[in-house]
Formats: sequence, C-alpha cells, structure tokens
Amino acid sequence: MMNKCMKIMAALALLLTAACVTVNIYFPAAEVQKDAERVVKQAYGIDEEKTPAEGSWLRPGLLDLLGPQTAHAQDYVNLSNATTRGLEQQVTDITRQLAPYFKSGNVGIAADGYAALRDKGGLDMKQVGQVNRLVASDRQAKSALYQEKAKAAGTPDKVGEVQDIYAKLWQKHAASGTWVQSGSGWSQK
Amino acid sequence: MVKADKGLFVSLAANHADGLPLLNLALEGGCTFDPASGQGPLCRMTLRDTHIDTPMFSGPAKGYVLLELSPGKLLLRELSMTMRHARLSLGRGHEQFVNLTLTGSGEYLPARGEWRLDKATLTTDAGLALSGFLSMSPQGFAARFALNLHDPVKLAAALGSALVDAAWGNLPAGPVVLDLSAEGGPDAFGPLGLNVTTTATLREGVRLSGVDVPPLRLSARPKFDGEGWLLRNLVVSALGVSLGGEMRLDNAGGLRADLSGRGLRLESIAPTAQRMTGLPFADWAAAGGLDVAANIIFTKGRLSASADLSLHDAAYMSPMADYMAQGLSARLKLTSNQTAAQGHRGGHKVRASLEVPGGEVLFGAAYLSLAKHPLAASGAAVQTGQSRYEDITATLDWKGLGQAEAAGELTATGPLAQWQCRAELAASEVDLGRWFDIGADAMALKNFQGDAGVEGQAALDLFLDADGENASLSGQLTIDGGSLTAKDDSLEVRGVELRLPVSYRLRGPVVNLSPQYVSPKQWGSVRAGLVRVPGVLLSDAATQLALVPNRLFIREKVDLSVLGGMVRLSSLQCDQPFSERMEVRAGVRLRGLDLAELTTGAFPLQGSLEGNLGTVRLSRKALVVPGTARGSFFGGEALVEAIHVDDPFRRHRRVGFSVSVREMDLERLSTAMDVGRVTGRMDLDLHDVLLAYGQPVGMLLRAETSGEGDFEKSVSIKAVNSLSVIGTGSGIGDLGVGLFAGFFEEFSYDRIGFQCVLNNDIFRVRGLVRDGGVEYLIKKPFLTGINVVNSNPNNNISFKDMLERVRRVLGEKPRSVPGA
Repeated sequence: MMNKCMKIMAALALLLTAACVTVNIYFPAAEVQKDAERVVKQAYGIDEEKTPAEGSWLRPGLLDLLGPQTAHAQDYVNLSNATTRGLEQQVTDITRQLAPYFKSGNVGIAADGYAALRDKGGLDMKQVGQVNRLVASDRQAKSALYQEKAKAAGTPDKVGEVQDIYAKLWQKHAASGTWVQSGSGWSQK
Repeated sequence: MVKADKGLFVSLAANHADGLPLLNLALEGGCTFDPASGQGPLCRMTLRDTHIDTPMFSGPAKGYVLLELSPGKLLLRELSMTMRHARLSLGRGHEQFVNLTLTGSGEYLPARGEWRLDKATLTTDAGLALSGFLSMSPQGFAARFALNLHDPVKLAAALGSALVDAAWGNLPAGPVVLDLSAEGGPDAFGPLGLNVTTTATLREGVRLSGVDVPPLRLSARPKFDGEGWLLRNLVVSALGVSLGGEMRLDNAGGLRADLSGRGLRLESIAPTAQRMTGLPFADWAAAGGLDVAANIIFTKGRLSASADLSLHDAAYMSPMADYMAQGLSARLKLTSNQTAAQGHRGGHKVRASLEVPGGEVLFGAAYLSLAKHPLAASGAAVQTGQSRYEDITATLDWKGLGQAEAAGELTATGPLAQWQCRAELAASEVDLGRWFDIGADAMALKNFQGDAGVEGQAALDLFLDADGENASLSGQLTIDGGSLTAKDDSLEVRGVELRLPVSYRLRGPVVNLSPQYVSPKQWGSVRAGLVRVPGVLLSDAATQLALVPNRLFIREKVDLSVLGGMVRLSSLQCDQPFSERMEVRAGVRLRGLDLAELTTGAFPLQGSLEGNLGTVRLSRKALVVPGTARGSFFGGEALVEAIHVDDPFRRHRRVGFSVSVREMDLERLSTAMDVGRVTGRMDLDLHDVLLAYGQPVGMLLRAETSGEGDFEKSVSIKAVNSLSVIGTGSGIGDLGVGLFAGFFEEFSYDRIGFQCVLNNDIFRVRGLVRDGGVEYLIKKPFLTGINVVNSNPNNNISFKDMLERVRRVLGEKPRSVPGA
C-alpha cells in the first residue's frame, strides 16, 4: 500500500514537473534575441564588449530548466545570410543618418520600434522632407529585415514575434537622451 | 365680495407716423373683489373689434386678459390673444397668411411706467414658436425670446414665394432653436422706427445643404426707415471668429449684406471648416491669417454672392507631418449669380479664381517652393443642381511646371471616386525635368541630380469620362526631346520622342485587347536616339506602341545588344501600367551571349548562352522566367533554368537560378581560375542559387567526374592545395603533404566528387565518393595518385571563412563585405 502511494506521488511529481515545461518547437526566440542584439548594436554603433547585459541572457540556471525550453529542427541556428546582411547594412546606414535627429529630439523610437518624427522644431521644410524620407526608409528596411530574419529562422509566419523582439531592443539600446514612445506617450531616455 | 363683471370698457389706440392706425385695442369686461382672498380686484377683459396693423403683420385679434389690481402695480395674470388668418408681410408682393396665438402673464408698474410680459408664448401654424419675456418702459425696451423652428418645411411653405427658390434645397434637416434678444433705450420706438440692439444665437449647430453650420451668434441694430430694415453693426460670430458689416432688407423683398473680417486666425477657423465640409482633415493643424470679404445681394429675383479670401503666412500639417506647408499666401475669389427662376431649376453661374504666389509645401518627402513656382488658376461653371456643374472651364498656370486647361461637366456627390464627370483636360509645356527633380530630391536619387536626370517637355490632351461606377481616360500623351541620364554614366537615354494615343480605364471592368484588335489610329510611336546601359546599347531605335484598356503594347520586336550578343524582346506588353498590379510580359530570346563579358576580377569566364526564355513576366513582386538558356561553359554543355527575381524593384532583390553543366573541361576551368592544373571532365549541378546584394544567399552545388570517360585525370599539387584550403581551411603544407611536392608535380585521380550546401551563411562540404566508410573529395586510382579525404563530414564553414578561403585560393585582395 505504501509502495503504491509512493508511486502515485512520484507520478504526480513527474506530472507537475512536466507541466512546468513548455516546449516551443517553432520559434527560436533566444537565437533571434541574440541576433537582434547584434544587429541593433551594430546599427547604433555600440561596442558589444562594453554592453553590460551581454551574456547574461544565455547563462543557464536551475530556473531555466523549469522555464520554456526550445527545440529546433536544426541543431545550429544561424539567422544571417546575404539578404539579411545587406538589409542590416541598410538599417545601419539609415540609423546613422537619423542619429542627429535622434539627438536633437526631432525623431524618436516609436513603440513599434520604428523611427518616427515627433517634433519638427528647428527643422526647415526641406529637412522635414528628408526626415520623412528617412523615417519611411527605416520602416521599409526594418520590415524587410524582420521578414528575412523570420525566414532565416525557418518561421516565416513569425514576423510579428521578430518585430516585437526588435522593437524592445531599438528602445533599450538607443542612446541616452533619445525620445522613446510607450503606452503613456513620449519620454526622454 | 364686490362684483361688477360688466360695463368696463377700455380702448387703446396707437397710430403710425402718417396717422394711420397701428394698434387699436378695445377691451370690455368687468371686475370682482373678494377682500377675504387677500388679492386685489380681479378684472377680466375681452378683446372686442380689435385690429392690429404693424409693418410685419396685421389682422383682427381676439382674446382676453385677466388683470389684478394691487397696490403699486397692475398684475397681468393671464393673457390670451389669437389672430386668425393674420397677414404676414415679407416685402411688397410677398404676403402670406398664418394663424397666431399669444399667451402670457406679466405686470404693469405705474411708478416706473413699465410693462412686463413674462412667460410669453407666440405659436403659429407655420412651424414656428416663440417663448420668452418682453419689457417696455419710458427708459427702454428689452425682449428675450427663444425661437423654435420646429418644422422648417412648414415655415418654408408658409413663406411661399418670399423664400428664394434656391433656399428650398437648403432647408435645415431638423428643428432649429434660436435665442433672440432685443434691447433699446427711451428712443427704442422712435418716429423713425426701431432703435434697438438685437441678437440671435444658434446654440446648437444645424446641417444646411449637407454642411454643418456651427453654433453662431448674430447681433445688429435694426432700423426701420419706411423703405425697409437696415441691420447696422451686424456681427456674425462663430467659434471665436467674427465677421462684421451690415444688411438691408427692403420692403420690396430685396436683401443686401456686406460682411468682412480681417486677421482671422486659421487656428480657429480650420476646425470649423473641417466640421462644416466633412473633409478628412480632423487631426491636421493649421495656422495663419485670413481676411474675408463677402457680399450677398438679392434683388428683383436675382441672388448674387461673392467672397474674397486672402491667406497670409499660412501653414498646415498632417498628424504625421508628411503633408505640410508654411509661409503660404493665397487669394481665392468666388462669385455666384442666380435668378429665382434659375434657382428653381438650377443654372446659376459660379466663378472662382485662385492665386498662390508664395510659400513652401511638402508632400511626403517631396518639397516644392511656390515662390519659385507660383500657381494661378481660374474657373467658371454653371450650377444646375445642388452638386451639378455644367459648362465648366478652368485654367491652371503653374510657373515652370506647366499649364493646363479643362472643360466639361461634373456631378459632385458622394466620395470623390463616385463623382460623375465628363471633361477635356489639356496640359502643355509640362517640364519633365522639373517634375523629375522634385521626385529625385524626395527619394535622394543623387545619381540623377544636378546635370543628370530627366529633360524634355510633355503635353497631355485627355478626355475624362466618369459615370460614378466607371471611369476612363482617352487622348494623347506627347513627349519631345526626352532624356534620362545618370551621373555615373550607368544609364543614358537621349532623344526620346513619344506620340502615344491613350485609352485607359481608371475604374470599372476592363476588356483586355490582343494587339491584333488594336485599331491603326490607336497606335502611336516612340523613338530614342540612344539607349545605353552597361552591356546594352541601342541607337536610333523606334517602335510603334499603344495604350489600350489597360495594356501598353510595343508593336515591333526590340533587339538589345547584350554581352556581345543579342537579346530579342517580342510581344512586349505591360498590363495595368499605372497600378500596383503592373505586370510586364515579353517573349525573350537570347543569341550569342558571351559570358567572358561578365568577367570581373581574377576569374575570366568562358562560354556562351542562347535560348528561348519563353514569356517572361515582371511585376513589382517578382520576375519569372519559364524557359531555359543553353550554351557552353568551359567546354561543357550548360543549361540555365528556374531564373527568377524576388522583389525586383527593391534593394534587397533576390536573383535565383539553377545551372547544370555536363562534361566541363576542368583544365580550362582550373587554368582560368589559376588554382592549379586539373585535367578531366566534370558534371556540375548548381541548384537553387539565390543571390542578394551580389552575394549568394543559398545554393546546392554537386560536382562529380563525368561518367567513365576516357580522358586524362590528373591534379596538380597546387590544385590539391587549393581544394584543401577550400575544404579544410588549411593548405597541404600545413598537413605535411608538402614533403612530397618536390617529387610529384601532378597526381592522377580516379574520381572527384563533392557537394557544397550554403544555407544561412553556413557552408557544408561533403565528399561524394564513399569507399570503406571513408568520404573522399578526390579518390586515387588503384595504384598511384592522391586521395583527398573529408575527415570531418559535419564541418560547418561560416560564410566569412569561406570567403577568406576563396580569396586565398584565387589570390584576391580582401574586399569589404558588409557583416561577413
């Protein structure tokens, strides 16, 4: 009787442990996150070695074993190819062209991660036109990049998830003083 | 109780200045007094043989009044008066009859000589009611009434012929409530008529003629001078904007109003205008000054109106700042003339002129200086219905950009896409270069700015026919002296002359024609003195072309000189050329394309291509090639197929194809590549190649010795070294093989076979020759020779490493590769 009870308890414990584990076999979120960190830092011209949070997100721990686990069709996930490299360069070029406008506060990072004209103060009409073009190019290049990253991850239907990851990083790594948009409006970092 | 309920008679009379009676009140009745009630004597008087004759209304009156005599005042407890069939006079020849009922209560204060009528209500059977109070004393006059126009249609019917016919179509949809007040001093009712200040306030907006009229206030000092009413000091105010002037209503029914306002602020007016017109600019911001002068004259059945609006230093901005303007100055003049008869059936003339001499505007990224390119437009039309305009004529002169004229008719109801229109449009002296410069600036096309870009003049002669469901354009487009050049000489098109008859369906079903059904008069022509892009040259080329719903046909075959050979385009056509769904189709044949012309860097290509690529389709999303090209590649037979381009008009376009080569001469290939000598024949399959930004995105390469051919099979030590570098990243010197290099310059081999897969910047190289559990890239014959073994079949080589290895083998200097 005692033995049977122990077996039931053990089975329950196993069930509870298993219930804590969610296996997402479709979207390599961790790899996309890591890759996105690289892309965003490159675009902002941030030296990766100096980034304080670097590496911490990958450190395995006891909690990681109970948290969501990821299984991929491939053992090794690489999210880079000629298309993404070209698009990353495009995004970097545009971000660098926008840098003075980020600094002046004319342009900020919207909640969706795209650059947005938030204040045209101090700009003449032609400069506003240039900003409009850069902001439109930023949206176009980033959208294309997210699509290609989702494809490279083998999950072309997860563009939204890719964009969400990038959106947070564009704001997180933006230089101090940059205006960022949240649910409560614009604020300066 | 004291009762004397009969025998009391009071007569009140008032005359006009000319002595004729104005008011003749005859009251008859009696009084009762009950001291126990605590009230004074009560008198009930009945109107008898009473006639009221005022300039505005006249007729017999019936009714009664209940009065209470109290110390120091006379209380008017009840008043009830009815005029049946009262004559309303709205000017000479405009008289109507209505029933009026007046009720109320009030008091008379003898010490001050003041009459007060509270809770007064005047009701009519003409859809109109008034309620409020009235006060008259030697010190002055005051009245405050709420006018409730609860049935505008009924009132309009009562007003009858006095109402301007055009107003019938402009009646408010629901009830209208106006607060009216009038105040005057001791001379309020002087010998020259009224001398009071009146105001009318519309507290809630109403909808008139599809336009929302906001809450507004009118004030004036009306004066009746015998000939009519003059509203002096007239002020119309709405949402912080006021127009001042005066209005005259004469006895003959004529009306003249002059209103003006200077320095009005667009910040205040714009929201109102947006609400009134329903235009989708609710979130736009506007600023600047506006001067307005308006004039309305209605006399002898003719209504004329004019408005002159001048904008100063105006600016507007869309919420995203993608559309904006600043420093705008503009002047808009509008005039309208209408007779009553015209108003009934429509047909009044409307004229408009617009001048925009200065300012800057922005459309997205496109910037335009109106000081550099001032605009002047004018037009006239006959309005034959609420939204129907005929005999429209319009001209536009846009300095430096072109001129345009239009003539036709328009029914402007519903959304713009559903407007009905038949109009001729003619644009001339359109400077293509200036329009292109605006676009090139907006898109930062630096390669097409300055001395480069577009030149030439265009003219358009079009007829637009839109019936609300279908819309089509027909006419002709002409371009003279057209050219397009790039700064870096990558593109040069000169001497373009175009004569293109246009027939295009903007809305509605399209019946696609085949070119054989295009009539002779629908064919136009295009001629180019020179077309030059890298690898392509055309000189003095000409062809016929036609734009019919909704296809552009090029009649003749187009032969392009490409890579030393020729590309022939036939049956060239473009479907929906002005829409997102644009698709170009053409039969494409290649003849004698020399691959050596493609050579860049240290790897001279050898071979040629020709073939029928079939009907190639190019859209904004993809270029699809159904056919194949065949030819030679380093002595082998080559087949190129599955050619396609994704997103061909975007920078990140991907070019895809598959290539198969049979019995390629390795000696020629290895010599050309300078990677060491290899003899023999090889079959090569390069499938699913995808290139972007000039680099491979993915591919599957299989290379194997061709069959069991009887040919020399040798590989030099340098070639083995090259293969080793590619496969392992290390030369054979590093592996200890260099020891034998002095003895053997060349080795024989039995088979070569390897596969290389590229996916997401990872190369995987596998040997295809398997023997005894070993994977060989090169397998030696039975006795002597050389084996190259892939000892790490799971090796992943990064794109960056592979590039470096290829550079080492080809002896190229490192090039900057973004991100690699």
